[in-house]
Amino acid sequence: MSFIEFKNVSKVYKMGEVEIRALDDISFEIEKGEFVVVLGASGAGKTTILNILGGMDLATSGSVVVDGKDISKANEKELTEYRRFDIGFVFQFYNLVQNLTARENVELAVQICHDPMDSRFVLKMVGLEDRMDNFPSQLSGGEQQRVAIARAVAKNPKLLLCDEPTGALDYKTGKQVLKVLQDMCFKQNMTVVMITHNTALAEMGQKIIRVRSGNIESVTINENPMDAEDIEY
Amino acid sequence: MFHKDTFRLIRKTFNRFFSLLMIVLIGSSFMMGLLSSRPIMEQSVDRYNDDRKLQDFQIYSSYGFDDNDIRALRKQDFVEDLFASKMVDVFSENEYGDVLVTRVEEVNRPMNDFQLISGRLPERSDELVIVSNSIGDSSHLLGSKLRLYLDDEDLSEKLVNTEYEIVGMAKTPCYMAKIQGTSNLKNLELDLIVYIPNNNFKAEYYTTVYFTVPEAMDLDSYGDDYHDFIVEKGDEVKIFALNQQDNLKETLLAEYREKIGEGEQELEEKKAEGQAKLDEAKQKLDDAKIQIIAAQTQLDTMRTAISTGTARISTLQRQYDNDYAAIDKRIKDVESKDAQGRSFQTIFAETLSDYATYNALKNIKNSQSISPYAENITRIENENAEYRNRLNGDLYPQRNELNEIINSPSATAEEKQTASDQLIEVNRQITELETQITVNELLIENLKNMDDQSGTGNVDELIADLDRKYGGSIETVYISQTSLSQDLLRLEATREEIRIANEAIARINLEISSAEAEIASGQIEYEAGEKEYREGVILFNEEIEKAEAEIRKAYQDLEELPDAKWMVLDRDSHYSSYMFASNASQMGAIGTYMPILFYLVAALVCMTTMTRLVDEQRGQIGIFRALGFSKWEVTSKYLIYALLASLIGCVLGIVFGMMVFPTVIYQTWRLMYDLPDMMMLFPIENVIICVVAFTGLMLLVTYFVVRKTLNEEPSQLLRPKAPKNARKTFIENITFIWRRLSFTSKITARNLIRYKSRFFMTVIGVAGCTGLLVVGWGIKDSIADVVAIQFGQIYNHDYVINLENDHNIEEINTILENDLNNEYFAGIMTYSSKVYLDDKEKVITMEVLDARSGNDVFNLRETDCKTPLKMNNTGVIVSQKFAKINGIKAGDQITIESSTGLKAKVKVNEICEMYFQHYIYISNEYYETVFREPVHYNCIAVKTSDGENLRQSLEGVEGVESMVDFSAVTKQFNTMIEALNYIILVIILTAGSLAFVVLINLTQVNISERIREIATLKVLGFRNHEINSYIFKEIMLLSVIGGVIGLPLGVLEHHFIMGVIDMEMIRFGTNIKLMSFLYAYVITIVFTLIVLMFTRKPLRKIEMIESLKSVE
Repeated sequence: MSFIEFKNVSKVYKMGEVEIRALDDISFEIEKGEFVVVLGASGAGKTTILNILGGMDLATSGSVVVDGKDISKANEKELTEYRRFDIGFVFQFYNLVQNLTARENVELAVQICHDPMDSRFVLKMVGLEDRMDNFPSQLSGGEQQRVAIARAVAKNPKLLLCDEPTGALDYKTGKQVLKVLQDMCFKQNMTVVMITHNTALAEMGQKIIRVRSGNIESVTINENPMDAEDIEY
Repeated sequence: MFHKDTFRLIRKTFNRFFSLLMIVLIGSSFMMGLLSSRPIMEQSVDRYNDDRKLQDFQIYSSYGFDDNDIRALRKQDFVEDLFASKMVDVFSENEYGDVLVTRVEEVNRPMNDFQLISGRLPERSDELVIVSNSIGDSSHLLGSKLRLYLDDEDLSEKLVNTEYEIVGMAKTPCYMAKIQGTSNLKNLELDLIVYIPNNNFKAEYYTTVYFTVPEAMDLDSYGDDYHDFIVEKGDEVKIFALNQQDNLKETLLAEYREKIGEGEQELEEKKAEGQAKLDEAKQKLDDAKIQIIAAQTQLDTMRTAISTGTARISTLQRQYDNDYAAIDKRIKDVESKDAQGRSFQTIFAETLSDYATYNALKNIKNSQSISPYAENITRIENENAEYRNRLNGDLYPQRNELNEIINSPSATAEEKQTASDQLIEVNRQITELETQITVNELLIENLKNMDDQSGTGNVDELIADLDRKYGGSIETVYISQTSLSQDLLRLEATREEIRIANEAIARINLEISSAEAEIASGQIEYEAGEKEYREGVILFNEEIEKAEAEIRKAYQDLEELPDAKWMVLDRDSHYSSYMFASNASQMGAIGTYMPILFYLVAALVCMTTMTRLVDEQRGQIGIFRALGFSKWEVTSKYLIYALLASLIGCVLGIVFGMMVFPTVIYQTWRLMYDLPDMMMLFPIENVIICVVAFTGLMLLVTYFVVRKTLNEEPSQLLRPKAPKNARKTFIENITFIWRRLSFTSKITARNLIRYKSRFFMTVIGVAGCTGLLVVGWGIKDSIADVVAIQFGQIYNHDYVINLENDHNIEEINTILENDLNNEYFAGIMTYSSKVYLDDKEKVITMEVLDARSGNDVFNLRETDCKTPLKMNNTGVIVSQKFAKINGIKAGDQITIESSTGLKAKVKVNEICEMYFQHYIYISNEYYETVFREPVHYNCIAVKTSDGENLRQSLEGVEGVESMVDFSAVTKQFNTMIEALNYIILVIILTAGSLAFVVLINLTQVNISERIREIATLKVLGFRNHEINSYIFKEIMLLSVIGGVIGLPLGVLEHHFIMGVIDMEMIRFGTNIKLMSFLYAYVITIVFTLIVLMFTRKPLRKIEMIESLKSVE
């Protein structure tokens, strides 16, 4: 059994009389320690997958099993616990708490889980040892995103979810961030799911899931994922 | 088109719009409600007064009014309608045994009428109507009986009926207050007012006169116009009253003088009469005295007689003793010669007869008659008969007579002496005659014998026989024996004399002792009489003196005759009317100042909300500006937003405020007053004030907030606003603490410093809430303080005994000293004095008392530190409020008046704490030094554990006028405090709504600003309570800070409000109890917790998807 199993998952949003099928009976599997890229255009349903996988939303039907735990039937409280202990989340717009320094933003996450990493160590890992005591507004976008990654990783999650992590970054800093993420997976053996609309980034993944209009277009296994530093986009 | 956008904005940000609207609503409702309460209270009562025709003036006269007075009054221009009324204060007892001090008034009254609220008017003369508010819930009394009586008088002399049936309940503007004032019965508090049919009153005079003034009814009773008008009219009324009362006094004086004149005349008559009686008694006494002296003189004479008598007796005795010896020898001599041994008497008798015989013989010899014997016998018998005649006819009666005289008690000593002298002579003659008779009888016998034998007889022989017989010449023997017999007789006489004298002395002695007894008893009688006389004189003098004193007193009374005082009272002098007016004006003052807080908070809420709104709208504003809309057009959008919020808020607030506050406040005052139904007013000027104030404020604040943003370039506006730089707080320098803080605490700490306007809004709002609560309880504490401190601490006495004068103060002091319940007491001279300040004179009460006892009954102390102040002889102590109003400080010199009106400068030694009325405390010694006048106490302050007992023991004591109990004052204040509970409730609700609006606004702004953060935290797996605390901690902390700031703020506000509702005569306490702070604080925190409870739901509703959105 795979680490993550998405089985016949559908998600239907009701907007008054209109039903919108964001996901239409999709299934895929992710193995432990894999770097997975979910690729799709805007509105293809990739964010819905992320929401369901991240425990932020529930599937209308189907089952989602993460590390043997079916979260598709979980209640709100169980989902909170799931997010708290199992998931690390990297947002497109970093979502750092403006009022806390880099280190405090990491500690924020560290505070709430069982087996966290040392915040100083994690920040060092993402190369921000010297900027620890700066507030987000004093950091560049790339640096902020690295803090966000540090915050997600510090929780020592089972799964690191990244939502367009480079979407708000310039090319160069975007690559630095992608490198950090790839290192997390390959060096720390962390399962990483990265969502992006940028096809150029797909080459980084060990598994590439292409989504279109709520359906899985294809699932490709990439035996030789490209090093993040080599990616051109 | 543009305005369509405005409405869309409102719909989109309805919460924010609503909170703006709410704060305006609350603020304006509060302002409107409070501002309108005073006019509503006043006008409701004003209309009621007019309906019931409440008097503008009332006059009391110390002598009552007669028809002349009434006629004179009716003629005056200032009288419109007039009602002369009779009343009497009595005790009443109902069927339940309650005894109440009751004022009885006339039921049929053209003025000061009552309003029947249940039952009916009296139809028979023994039915009555009661004023219902006076005894609480009284509906059950309808139909029951009420008995009226007086303690010390027969009420039926004043009223026709004394038992009545209660047939109706009424209320009246005259007795609106629950406490109706003081009765004429020993100054007891009035409990009940009743109206009985007019014809029950027997009094000839009217007790009081009510009248209205023309045109006064058109004015608002509580307005300045009415006040000025009445003051002006009042002067006219007073001038008239002065004239009238002077005339009355003149009349009365003349009447009194006549009466006193009569009294004086009567006294003179009585005086003369009494003097005459005394003189008569005196005369009698003098006579008795003379008699006693005469008796004494007589006694002395008798004593002299005794000594004379005794002397004579001893002379006689001596003579007798001498004679006796000689005579006895001679007798013995004779007797011894007698052969037969016969006694001298016998011998002498024989000798006499023999000598007579001898003489007869000689006669016979010489005459040579034929029968000489017979002739001689006849002659001798004739002689004897003559002797006997003399004895029986003369001497014996004489002797008896003399004896009688001597034995008679009535005969004087002199008479007795004379009698006894005569008696001796008489006895001698008797003895002589009796002897002669005996001799003659012997002679007759001899002659008869001789005649028988010697008819033939030889005379010479016979003569010789005889001579022989006597040894010589018979003649010699006869002479010698006759002389002896004579001597013997004399001796006998002497002895008799001695006996009589002795008897006389014995008799006189007897007389003396009886006379002495008589004199002694006479003396006693005299002394008793004299004593009686002396007492009579004293009594007489006393009585005269008393009568004279009475007349002097009458003259004095005449001089001191109270002016026929006409007391002119306007409505302000009416207890309930005055109290109500001052309460209404207090409401007005509170209504003016309290909304300021709401105003300030509304401004801050508006600022926070609009700032946040404009921040959110930043991009849009930029777009509009980029599209070429002018600044003014953009601004107008937000101004319309604010205008709509404030207008709607204002309208709703005004409606709501008018619905709630006046009613609540009016109902609260109904606890204290029996008010008429509330008359709803809509004071348009208040509406305008309210709308202009709030709308103007909102627009102004909005304008400034929007302008600040609009001043940026449009291009800048299109970019997100540079987040306010987070700053490190000072706590972070203390690393070890900072590191231990949870991230929520860290965020909270930093946010507090980051968003200052929010901080101030919340802190001020919450502080305002706490402050209001402190004020609410504080007002209650303050008023409670007046009672507790003034009557519990400063006045260290329970009763004041008012004196008519200080003449009998010794006796009263003794009674007080002997009453063991009394802790202490002190005489006080209290009078109304004036203090002359630079440009004005102020009335103040002077309390002159002994420095030592004064410090017992008045616990005077410093205003702040409560250090006890002692009265001394170097200056005076002035009460706090008076000193404050008039700028008097310790060490100043002020000019005051003595009780007789002398002016003098005194030094102000100290300022003392005082809550009720104005006083200057001055010691006796200082007073006397300054004014050179004696102090006359006119009341006594007493601290006692048993006032009733004291009242009884002072009952009827001369000089005691009345006894005032402070518990009545306390009762009145306590009712007021009770009424305040409702006000406190309103304050709690208001404070609550203030806190709610502010806190809800804060949470809304905070949440809307941090939706992204919160969503992120949710995604990061924060549990609900952790997320709650992320928002709550800040609010809680702000509340705590606000509450802490609110406490001193409340103290200030309280101080301020107490200053505003200040009554001239009362200084409210400024102390707030610890519990009040606690209540205020705890309730504030409870409000916060309630707001936080309501915040949980919107927090939970925040979607995690928000975190994925791009930054606007």
